[in-house]
Amino acid sequence: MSETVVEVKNLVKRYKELIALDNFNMKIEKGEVFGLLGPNGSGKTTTINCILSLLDFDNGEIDVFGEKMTSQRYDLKKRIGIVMQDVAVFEELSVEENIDYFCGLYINDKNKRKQYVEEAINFVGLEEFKKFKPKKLSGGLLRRLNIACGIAHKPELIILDEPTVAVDPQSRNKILEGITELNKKGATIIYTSHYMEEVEQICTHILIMDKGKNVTEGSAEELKRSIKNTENIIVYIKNLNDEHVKAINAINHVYDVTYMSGRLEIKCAGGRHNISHVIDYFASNNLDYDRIYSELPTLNDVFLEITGKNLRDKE
Amino acid sequence: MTVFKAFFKVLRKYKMSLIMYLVISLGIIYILSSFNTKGNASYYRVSQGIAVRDNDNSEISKGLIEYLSTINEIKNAEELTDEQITDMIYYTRISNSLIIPAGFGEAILNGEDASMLKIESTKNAGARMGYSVETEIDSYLNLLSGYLEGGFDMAEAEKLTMEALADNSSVNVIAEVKVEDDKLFTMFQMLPYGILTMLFSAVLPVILRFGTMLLKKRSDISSTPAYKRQISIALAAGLVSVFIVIALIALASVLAKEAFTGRWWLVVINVVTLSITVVMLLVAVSNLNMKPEVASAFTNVVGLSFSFLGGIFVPIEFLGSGAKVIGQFLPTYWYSEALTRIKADGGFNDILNCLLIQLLFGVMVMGVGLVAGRSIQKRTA
Ligand SMILES: Nc1ncnc2c1ncn2[C@@H]1O[C@H](COP(=O)(O)OP(=O)(O)OP(=O)(O)O)[C@@H](O)[C@H]1O
Ligand SMILES: [Mg+2]
Repeated sequence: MSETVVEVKNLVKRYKELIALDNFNMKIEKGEVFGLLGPNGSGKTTTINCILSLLDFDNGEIDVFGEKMTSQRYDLKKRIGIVMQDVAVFEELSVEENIDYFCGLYINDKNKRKQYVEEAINFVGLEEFKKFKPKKLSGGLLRRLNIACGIAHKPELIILDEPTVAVDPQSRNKILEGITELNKKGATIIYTSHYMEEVEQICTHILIMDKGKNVTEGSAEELKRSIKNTENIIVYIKNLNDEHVKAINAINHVYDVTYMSGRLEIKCAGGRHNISHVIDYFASNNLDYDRIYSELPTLNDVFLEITGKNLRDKE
Repeated sequence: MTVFKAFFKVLRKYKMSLIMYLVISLGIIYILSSFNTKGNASYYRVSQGIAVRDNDNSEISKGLIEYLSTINEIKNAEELTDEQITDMIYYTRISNSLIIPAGFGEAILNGEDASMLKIESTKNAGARMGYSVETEIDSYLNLLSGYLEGGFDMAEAEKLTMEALADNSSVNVIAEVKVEDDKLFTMFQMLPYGILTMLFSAVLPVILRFGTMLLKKRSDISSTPAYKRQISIALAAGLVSVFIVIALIALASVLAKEAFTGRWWLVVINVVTLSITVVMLLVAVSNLNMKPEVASAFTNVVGLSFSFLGGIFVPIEFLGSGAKVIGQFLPTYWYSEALTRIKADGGFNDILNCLLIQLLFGVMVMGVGLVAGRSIQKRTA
């Protein structure tokens, strides 16, 4: 039997005229790595802050561990770990002291805390930097410290709000592996991001939101299966005229073609050998291309198909 | 406990400013005390201002006033209102107000008790100097009536009395003050600067650090309630403040080589009052949601302005009248004023007003700070 850890029902949050959350719903089951995916400003952090009772909201209900969450529910707070979007540590304290401080806000037992702090340091791989002040840490290491401060007290529910923003690939992988490991040890995870690759990589359940509203949800496979887009063919080719673009669009199973600065993107719905049909077209028209490959749809395609826009501005 | 301990860990970062301001304070003591050494251990007779109203106008009363005028500065009370006289006593510009009743000379000639009792003397209750004038009067009248009883005529008796009193230096001992004692005041004079700068440069930024938006949010999510964290911070900040104040008092006392005397206690009560006021100011400022980095700038502004305008570095008398008017709104001004009164042998009652004004300042500033803090919080929420 599954157990609901967090349930958000019809949540409405306004900042003056701006409606940041518009009847938003979310349900997180025990043991999930729940991905909350949405573009910048879609309301991810606002949702998290409401769950944590950091913000008052205008309407809706929030239950955590099956009970109504309020700012006074310290018993519930004790079971939650939070890694905030913005790094929150004392610049005057060392890595070790910072972790000890935040762990100490939850755990009074000194010996237990010592052990937990030690474990957290090892977990994020900051052993060599124990005595460092935060200012001496690189962006990636600082994020890891932020994570250690959030999870040292071994919470059952861990909320990570974009923990990999501005992090080097090495630290990013370490963080993602760590989250999976925490989940394996029994923690339920809420992970917000606007990096769809990350969410796809680690999340067992994904909720996509936009402008404070639910867009869709399910596992990555479910989401991709739910759209008509099944394959994207990318071709790098120079000087293609409109006639050719039109002709390609007419190939069987192709439903959308965009050509911009030498990059041709062909969207297909169904069909099995779409890429060979495209190659055949180039061959019969004596056209040369630099590179051609086929991709399965991404979460961005899911988002694009439902909202008509990209998750992120192309980087 | 975690928050309490963390306070001290964060405080470590500011130990250099604690040391720096301690050194500066000591430097100021050194400069101030080198100004004061010239009067060392010499004795001088204290001249008091006395307001006299002579309703008797007899030869005896005139003789007495003449005698008093050889030691003191006599002001004619006829030209002053009662209110002015009360004020002058309060601000220790005069030590006594004397009213010589009609029939006073007659009574003495008739051999009635020739003592102070017949003269109405109003003085500042706590001030020792008021009594010295009364002793002078007693001595004069006793001797005079003795000579009169011995058969001398008025002119001769007065002359002999004057001569006897002029020779008899012992009579005036009470009215003499040792200048060397000023050391106590020199040392304590600068303590407000030390207290202000040390608390604002080291304790304030730590409090502010705990209140920075992200750390506060992050802590609010934890299972330690906000009020528990605030109590810990207040306790830690209080403890550090008490330690700093005690250390400064001890240092000043050791340097002055004086402690646990009557006036030492008064001086200490004054310092403690000022410290409480400074702590209230600290509470007000820490409510304003400032960045910890701002604290050092704040320290210099508050430390210097309060010290200069409050007569800490320079005696109040040296300040221009404009500065003095502004100074009166600062607790340090009343701290200095209290010191001046204690120096002039004032007692607790004489400085009580000064103490209350300091506290009033603190309470008002704290009130404003709390209200302002709340509105800032509302705006950022
Ligand atoms: N304190 C605030 N006052 C006014 N508007 C706010 C406030 N906080 C957030 N918003 C607005 O609410 C919307 C949702 O913001 P939120 O921070 O929840 O988005 P997000 O999904 O976390 O974005 P990001 O990926 O950039 O972190 C945004 O339009 C934002 O500008
Ligand atoms: Mg956010």
